[in-house]
Formats: sequence, C-alpha cells, structure tokens
Amino acid sequence: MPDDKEKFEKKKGTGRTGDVQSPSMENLNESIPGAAFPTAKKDVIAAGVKPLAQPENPYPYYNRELSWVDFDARVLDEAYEAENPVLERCRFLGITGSNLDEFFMVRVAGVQVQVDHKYSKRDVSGLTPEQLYGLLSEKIHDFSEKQYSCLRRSILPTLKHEGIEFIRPGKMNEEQLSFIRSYFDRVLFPVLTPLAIDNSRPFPFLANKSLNICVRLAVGDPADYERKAKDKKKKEKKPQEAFAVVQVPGILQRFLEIPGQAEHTYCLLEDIIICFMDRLFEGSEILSCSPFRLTRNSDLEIDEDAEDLLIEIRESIKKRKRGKPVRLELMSGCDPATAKFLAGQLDVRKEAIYVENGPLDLTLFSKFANIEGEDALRYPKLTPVNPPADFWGYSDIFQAIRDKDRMVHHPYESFDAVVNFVRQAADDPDVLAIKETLYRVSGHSPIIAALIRAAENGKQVTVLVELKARFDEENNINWALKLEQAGCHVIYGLVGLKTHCKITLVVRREEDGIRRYLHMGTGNYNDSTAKLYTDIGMFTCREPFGVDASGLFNFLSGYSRPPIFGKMIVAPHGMRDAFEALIRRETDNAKKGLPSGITAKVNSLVDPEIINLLYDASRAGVKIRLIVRGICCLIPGLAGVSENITVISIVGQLLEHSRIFRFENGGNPRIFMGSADWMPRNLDRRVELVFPILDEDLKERAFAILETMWSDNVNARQMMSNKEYVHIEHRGRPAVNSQQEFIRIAREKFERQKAAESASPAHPKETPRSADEDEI
Amino acid sequence: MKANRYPKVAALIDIGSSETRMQIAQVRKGKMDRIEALSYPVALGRDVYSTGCVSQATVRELIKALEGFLNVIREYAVKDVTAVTTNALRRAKNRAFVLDQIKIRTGLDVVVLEDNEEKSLIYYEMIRTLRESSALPKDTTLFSFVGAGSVGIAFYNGQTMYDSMTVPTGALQLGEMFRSIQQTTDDFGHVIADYIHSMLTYDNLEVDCRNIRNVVFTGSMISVIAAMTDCPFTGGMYRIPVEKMRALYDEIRAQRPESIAIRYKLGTRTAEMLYLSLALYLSLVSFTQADLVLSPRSDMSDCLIRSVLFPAELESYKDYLHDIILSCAATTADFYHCNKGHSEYIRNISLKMFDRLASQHSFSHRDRAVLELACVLHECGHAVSARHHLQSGYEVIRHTDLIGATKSDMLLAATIARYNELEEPDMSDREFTSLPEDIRTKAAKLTAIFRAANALDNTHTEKLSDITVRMREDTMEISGRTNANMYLESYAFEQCAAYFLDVFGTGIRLRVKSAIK
Repeated sequence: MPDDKEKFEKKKGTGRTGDVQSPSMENLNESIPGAAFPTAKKDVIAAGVKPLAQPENPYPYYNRELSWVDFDARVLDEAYEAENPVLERCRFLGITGSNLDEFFMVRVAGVQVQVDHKYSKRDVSGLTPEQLYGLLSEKIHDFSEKQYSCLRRSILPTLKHEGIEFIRPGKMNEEQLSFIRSYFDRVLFPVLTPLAIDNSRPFPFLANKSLNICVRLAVGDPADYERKAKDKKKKEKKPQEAFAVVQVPGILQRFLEIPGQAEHTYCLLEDIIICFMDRLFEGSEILSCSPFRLTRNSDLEIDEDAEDLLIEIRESIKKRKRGKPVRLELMSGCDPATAKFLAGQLDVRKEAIYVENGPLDLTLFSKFANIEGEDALRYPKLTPVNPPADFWGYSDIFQAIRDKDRMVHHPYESFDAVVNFVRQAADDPDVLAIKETLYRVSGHSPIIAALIRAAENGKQVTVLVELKARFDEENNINWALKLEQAGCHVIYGLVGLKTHCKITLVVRREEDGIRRYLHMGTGNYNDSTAKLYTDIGMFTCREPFGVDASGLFNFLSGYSRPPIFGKMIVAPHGMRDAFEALIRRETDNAKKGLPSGITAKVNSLVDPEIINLLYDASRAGVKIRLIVRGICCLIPGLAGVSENITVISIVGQLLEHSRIFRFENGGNPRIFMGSADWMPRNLDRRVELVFPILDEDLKERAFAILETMWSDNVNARQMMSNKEYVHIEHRGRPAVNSQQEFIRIAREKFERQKAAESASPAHPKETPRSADEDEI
Repeated sequence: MKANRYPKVAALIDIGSSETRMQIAQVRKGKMDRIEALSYPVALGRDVYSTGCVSQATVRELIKALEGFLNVIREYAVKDVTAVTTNALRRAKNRAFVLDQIKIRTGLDVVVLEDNEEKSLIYYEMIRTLRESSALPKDTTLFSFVGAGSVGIAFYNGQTMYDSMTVPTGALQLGEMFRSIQQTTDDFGHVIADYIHSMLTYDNLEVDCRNIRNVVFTGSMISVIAAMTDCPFTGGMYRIPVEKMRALYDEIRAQRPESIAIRYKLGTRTAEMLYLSLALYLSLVSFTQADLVLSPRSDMSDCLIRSVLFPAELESYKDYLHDIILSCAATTADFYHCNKGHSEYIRNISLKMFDRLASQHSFSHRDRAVLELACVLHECGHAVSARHHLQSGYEVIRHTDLIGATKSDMLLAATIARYNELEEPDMSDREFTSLPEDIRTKAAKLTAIFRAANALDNTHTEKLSDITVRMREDTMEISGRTNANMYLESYAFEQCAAYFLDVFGTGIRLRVKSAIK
C-alpha cells in the first residue's frame, strides 16, 4: 500500500495535464508588450491553449474538455488519499466512474459527432475536433489506467487490511463455490437471457452503461467436427464459432457477500455468471467469456417547437437509449477474437476502446461505499444543524423573514428550513400563491408533497419544472404529471432556455397588504442532494426582490416580457452585461488606485469573454481569487496576463456547489450568490438568477464563508500556470478543511443558542419539523 | 378571517396598440403600492393601422395574454378588475366581435376608452406627478403624449388645461404609413419631418406655442430616449435637454430602423418607434422656446387603478375632469365668440335647478358637467349661421373634440343646447330620436332645465339677481330680484313650463321680487 501511494504521489507532480503541457509555457513571449503568450504553436495546440495566430482571442485559454478530465483526476486524488476512510475512497472512485460515464455520454459524444461530420473549425482553445478527440482519448486512457491502479494497488489492499475482500471463483473454497452456485441457481439463472448472434439473429441492442458478457462458442459437437475433418482431410483446425451476449442484470446488486475467512467477503455478479456460464449454453463449448460495457451518446436532441414539449422529451429519451456507442470498455486479457467481433459489431473506433484491469464499471464502488455496518470506514455522519441559526427561536418562518433576511448554509444547516418554508406556506390560510422552480428533485420530495398539499388547500400553485434537466428528464416528467393532477399550474419554461434558477415565491395576504416572501438559492430544491452538496440559500421579503421575483415568474410563465430587474441579475437578460460591468468596474478602480479585487466561487469557469475580462483586470492590477471546483479554462499565474489571478479548487467530502461573487467595488464590497457559473450556457442559454446580499449581517457572514473557503489548505488544490493542480502547502499554518470548519461553525452556533435558550426559559421554544415528516 | 381585514387590491388591464399590460396594486400605508406589472406584446395596432381590422391570429394572441394575466389576478385573489382599451381597438372595424370574443373566452368586459378620456387620464397623471415633485410649471406649458396611434397636445396655464388637440396619427401608425417610403428613399428622415410638420401646423399650433418655455412630454419611447441620452430618472421624472434629443436624432435620422436596432441593441420595432417618436417630439419642441423636456411617469393605468383603490382620488379626478372640460369649453366658446356673461349666468341658474332635482332623478356628476357644457357652448352656432344657429350649434358642439369629454357627453350637450324656448324636443326631431333610448329621457330632463334657465336671460342682460330655487310641493319655484322689465323673460319662461312639467311631473314657477311696486 505505501508503495502504491508513494508512486502515486510521485506521479501527482507530473500528471497527465503536465504531459501535454508545453514546457515553453513557463517562458512567455516578451516581444508583445503587455501580454505574454505561448511560443511554440505545436506545444500550444498540444496544451489545448489557443495559439497566437487567432486574432479573435489574444489570450490563452485552456480547453474545457481537457480541464474536465483534470477535475476528475482531482476526485481520483481523493480516492488515493490514504487519510480518507477507505469506504469514502471507494465512493470517490465510484464518482470518478460515474463522472466519466456522463462525460462520455455528452461531451466526448459531442466531439465525436463533430469528428464524424468532418467539422474542422478550431474551438476557442485552438483545437480542431480531431485534435481534441486525440488528446482526450490519450488523456482518458491514462486516467482510466490510474483509476484501476488506485483500485488494485491502493484501495483493495486497504480494504483487505480492514477485513473486506473481493474474491473470484477461481480462488474460492468449496463452501464458497457452493454458496455462489446456489445463488446462481436461485437468483441469477431465472433472470439471465443469453442472446445468440447468428445470421438470423443480429447483434442485440444493448442498453447504455449496461454490463454484458460476450461469450464465444464452438458450434456443434467437437468430436463430430474432428471426425468430419479427418474424413475430408481438410485443413480446418478450428470448429465453427458463434457469439452470444449475456447481460449482467442491472436490477441485482453487483456485489454479493459470501461466506469467507475475512470479516466480509464479496464476489462480483459477473464472475458468478461466468463461473456457471456453461449452464446457459448446454451442448456448446464455451471458448471464452469476456465482460464488456458500452457507453452511448446520450445528448438529447429536442425539437422545442414541438406542440407538446413533454411528449417530445419522452420521445427523445427513447432515442437517447439508442445513441451511437462512444466507448467500449473491455477487460485486459479479453479474448482477441471477441474484442475484434465487438468492435466490428458496435462500430467503435479504435480510440474509443478502453481496455481496463477490471472490474468494469467502477460506479459499483459508490454503492459499495454504503455497505452496512462499516461506519468506522466512512466519514462520521454529518447531521445538519436544525433549526439553522437564523431561524432559532421562531415557530413562524414568515415572522422570522419579516424581522430580517435569513441565510442558510447547507448541508451544515438543515435543508428542512427550506422545506418548512414551502410547507408552512401550504398550510397558512393567508398564503394566496406559491411559485417555485424545480430543476432536479429527489425521489420522495417533501417539497413536492407540500406543493401538492398547497394546491389541495386552494392555493394558486405554479411550478416551473425544467424537463430538460439532463438525465433527470424522466423523473421530472413524472413529477410534472403528479403536480398537474393535484391541480398545480405546471409550466415547462421557455423555448431554447433551460430554467436553472432556484427560487420560491410565496404571496401572502397580511393586514398591511400583500407581502411576498422569497427563497433564492445556489442549489436545487432537492432534499437528498442538499445533504451532500454545499449550497447557500437566502430568505427575504424585501419588496424590490418581490417585484423582481414576480417579474421573473411572469416571464417564465410566458405571461409577460422580461422586466427590468431592480435587484436581481437574471440570465439571459443582462447577466452577462452585469458581470462584465462588475469586472470592468474593478479594472477601472484598480487603474484609479481605488481598492479593487474579485473573489468568485463557481463550479466552472469557461466563458471566454469573462475570462478575457479577468485577464484584463489582472493586468490592471486587480487581485483575483477564484475558487473553481471543476473546469477552469483560465490559466492563472502567467506573467503579463494573469499573475494577479490565483485559482484553487476544493474537492472534498461534500460537493462544492455554491456560486458566490465578491467585488471590492472601490472599498464598498458587494457580494452576490446564485445559480450561475461563468459558462456561456449559464450566461446565454439558461434562465439563471444571481442575487445580491443586502443585509449587513448576512453580507458579513457571506464574506466570512468565502474567506474560510479561500483559507482551505486540506481539500484545496491550487492551479498552476502549467495547469497542474497541486496541494496547498501548509507552511507552518494550521490545516484548514473548510468543510469541517463550516460543520464546526454551525454546531457551535447551535450550541450557543441552545445554551442561551436554557438560560432564558421565557424564550419561545422552536420545535423544528423534519423534512421526512410527510412524503407523497 | 374577514376579507375586509386586508387592504384593497385592484387590477387594471390596458389593451394598447403594441402591447397589452396589466398592473396589480394595493393600498399600503395610505399610498398606492404596485405589486405586479406585466406587459405582453400584441400587435393590435399593426393590424388595425394596415388593414382596419384585428386579425384572428392577433385576437388569439390577445386572449392568450389576457388568460395569463387572469392567472396572475387569481394568484392575488383580486376582485376589482378593470380592463380598458384605447386607440387600436377603438379604430378596429371588427371591434365589437373582438370584444365579444374576449368576453366569451375570458369573462372580461373591456371598456373602450375614447381618445379624449385617454388623454385626460394621461394629462391628469402628468400633472399629479409633477405636482408631487414640485415641478409643475406655474406658467404656460405644452403637454404632449406621443402614443402608438395618436399624438395628444394640450396647453396648461398654471391652473388647468385650457386647450387641447389630438392628432390621429401616432408613432406606430406613422411607421405603417411610411414603411413603403422607406424602401424608396434614403432621406426618410426628411420625409418624416415634413409630414409631421404639416400635420402639426394644421391647427395653428405654431402660433399657440410661440412663447412657451415649458414642455412636458410622455410616451413609451421616452425612457429609451432618456437612456440613450444618459438622462437618469430622478425626482420622479426624466429631465432631457432638447440639445441632447436633437443630437440623438441627428445621429439616427439618416439610418434605417434595422441599422438603429443593430447599433443600439434594440428590437427593430422599438428602433422604428424610437425614430418616429423622436421626430414627433422634436417637431413639437421646435415650435416652442423650451430647452428642457420634462417627462414624469404618466401611466393612464395608474390613474384608473388609483381611482379604484382610493375613493378620494376618484373625486379628485372628477374635479380635474370638470375643470378641464369647462376650461377647454370656454376656450372653444371664445373661438366662436359666444357671450361669456350670458353663458355663465344661465349656467348658474341651471346648476341651481339641477342640484334641486339631482337626488330625486339620480343625476350624476357627469350629467351636471354636461349641462354646464351645454350652457357654455350653446351659442357656438351663431358664428356659423344666425338663421340656423340652433342647428349649427348642435353640429359644432357634437363634433368638437374636448379633452375629458366623451362623444356621448358631447352629443348630449349638443342635444341640450339644440333647443330654446321656441323649440322643444319631441319624437319628430331627428337629433332627439337618434339618441340612444337610455339617454333620451335624461336628455329631455337636462334640456328642460337648460331651456328654463336660458329663458330667464332671453335678452342677454342678466336682469334677475339673487336667484334662488326652491321646491314648493309639486312645483319648482325660481325667485329673483330685479327692477327691470321682465316681460320677455317671463314669456319665454312660460313657454318652457309645460315641457318642464311633462318631463319632470313637476311644475315650474317664476317669482320676481321688485322694489318698484
């Protein structure tokens, strides 16, 4: 184990991003005043950096797909990290697998389509689709190798050390063999359907991401064949062959616990099937069994002009299942004849074949991370503080919001505050209407239950369900229908724009008039992911926000043109302009010698125009701190271009998801939060919402949150000018894990309030309702 | 929980020429608080100004917009919903069918505002906002509203509007008219300027405007012009220097709307409206000495919704309307050389009689104003024909555009003023029988009052003073004091008594007190 780790640590310094990185990036061309550019065009292209000769973008730009692979590599780092509990490392490994699956289904598929159509225009990073495809293939092959190296050399030995082992039938004792035989007979055999392939039975349609076993068979009786061969004195030395495919049933758990000497012994389903494969092909000789996995192009092509978007999306989902293969995963040591057969049948290009050490489909380890009874091998359970500090002492959520704006930081503070907001609105006789946007919701969403109850209680409920939320389309269609049946007014957003903003509006009739209560957030209204994603929400009833929110919903409902927003920044109507103006102001302030600076936390930084403005700002002397979890196409630390820009990425136990933007504004800092990343799709093709924090206390809190994130030196890695990510040196400073810090802050506040309440018995007692109280 | 525990909420839908808008407002801390403001583009004007009718596709689009608005209305549980429409639908030949389809599909009763009503609402809002901001000029001021379908012009004397006119061609309509010209000339700017100039000089506007230093303009394009000339909205209004407006116009006048749209990131329609509105504003301002344009927020809908939310506001609007109607009527009467003293004299007597009868006969505030209007204008016909002055007066009054007064008001006033002591309405009169049946009785009653009052100054010498009106059992007694010979007046009055009795079922008697025994 230590050896593997050591090797990995050594490799970490010269990761694959470094391999494609031109060494000349360090020595920048000084001949062009005020700017520094890469020198060697070839190197530049190899690095995914836009070459000098592209006049439309004079600044360097790192290719987004290549940057994405770097992000998955950072997740893989966590799987390698010996200090992480081993089941969490399994989970990280599983996440790298599911991330990569999605990346293939959408992004690689997109590049492949361009290559297939001989599209040759260079992207903003200067690469043609063909060049990019080549670079990606190389980078992902290398990454895949690392994933399996991590599994085999690091995780599996650690698991074994902890008394958990995976065993293959070849190494099983009789008791174990008997166990799996029985399992095969009782459970597997009835659900397995071998699909033979011959002239009358073409290669079967295989579901995206399904795990299959290709079986090569000798057709007929071998003895009979030998006799015929002797008689005819022909030179045939091989029997006739045939292929069949057996799908590993997706409905069953991939790993099976079997009796063994270790504390827990597991066997993989495909190994059991292969072990007893002859039972499926009695009378035929099995020449080889080769597991394989197929990934298909799954990007939906939706005709938004269709009369019924819901039906159109349903049709597209069906088509997606039949998308063109973009990756074929095989096990190392795969039978060559089978490999050739599969590649031919599936029409997969050579670069799209990934030969892996196995097991195929690492996402199984995400589920494996949840095996029962091994809590010591996982992070301590994070229990969100409930009620959040801002709602302590209030039984009436509306009263709390009337008193002042409120902020909730998830998952450190419970998402129940948000659920209760909708729930209280549903039951409050003074509430007239509830409006909400839904992008991704959980399986048994208490929010949806509350919305349905509100409609049943006679409230006017309008729900914008985004049917085009990738891979959640089917789920969202189901919710949409349920909500409609309950009497909610369900809308599907606007043609050509995905509705990504997260906002709930409650219209309440009060004695001094109608008042609007709002929740705006950085994350989805999803109580499940709210336990794993870090997000921030703000509650307010400030009238300017209410006016903007109504205008936004009227626009989304198609009732009105987009209004002029007073406080909110809304895409695609003005968000790009607003961000550009905010960045430019910092540049101008820096030039005037006024205080300037930008701190932004986003999931991805891709937008070339924003990047160029950040480069401009850096050149004007603006100190720019960027916390970019995933893709970052900006290259920091380049002399004359971006030496005032520092980029870090936080990848840890929880998925960083909040988007926060701070601008120093000449000494009067402004801070915004919202749903938008700095990507063209967010700024131009989605309805996004970014809102300012106006309450002074909340502003201070938001500043502090950002500072804590920036001071992270445990989960944060810094992006260097060569695009490598390196761990931040502590250099004598205490280790700061921002996520752990937020857990501590939330708990301490909670304890303080609890203590204060005990000291003051007259204080109203809050009994928080749990989000699990009612479900559909 | 009782509903009246909550402040009043009202909605106002305004179906305009280029967009349909809705606002929902409530009373909060004694003031109007706008909760919702929606706008949906429906090109009624484009249809009507080019074909005369609203197409079925546009009707469907309009109904879709209204259904959306009604959803929002339900979200606020609004009970008071008013829907109005203005120029485009007013001019549509198929107006009745469109209104019927709206009623059937949405349940909305849409009120078609007449041009004068619309303009008086707009001017009311302009004056109110300027007064609130302490920016209402104290001397003569030119007010103008450039709409999609018409241009309103009014003159204010520091106290009230005293004259007004409406040019029945607005920016959108100009666009429709000149769309073909745009294709044939590069100097479209000049063509527009010439046309506007000829249109505006028609009514001697140039002379009226000569010494004016204050201009207050409004219209949908003002905010765009303000933004493009860097004039922020402060103190409740835009303040745009004429010089800046002119510079902007010079910049865009040689360009076609498509190029303006691209250059300034506007929609093509907005670019066209901007161009034409700017041309209209500058033509108007060129008649004056003004170097600054004031533009307060002046939404007609604001006035309407406020009058629903605040009963006092409604009264205030009625007072304003009364003032401008009479003040503009006085300007018209001057134009026709009417005898102002006589008009005022019989107006006072008429009103005394009216007030005695108002409650019993359910006369309205508006009926009172119409009676006054008849008194002020009843002599207009003399300037046209001495022999047929009654008939001429009827025609003049009926066709006079008077801000604040509807066509129906003017028809009623014309009918009232049509009769003197020698002629009384009967069913053989074409003018009288052409009145809608529901207002015929009212017309008869007001005519009966007017004739009696007019008879009392038959000689235009205002002989009777200290006039009082009392009800004595079944008779109305008008008494006054004079030492002059009242034979002619008494005779004329007697001629009117029978009709009065017929109409009201109440007799009428004159009692003259004299010092000479």
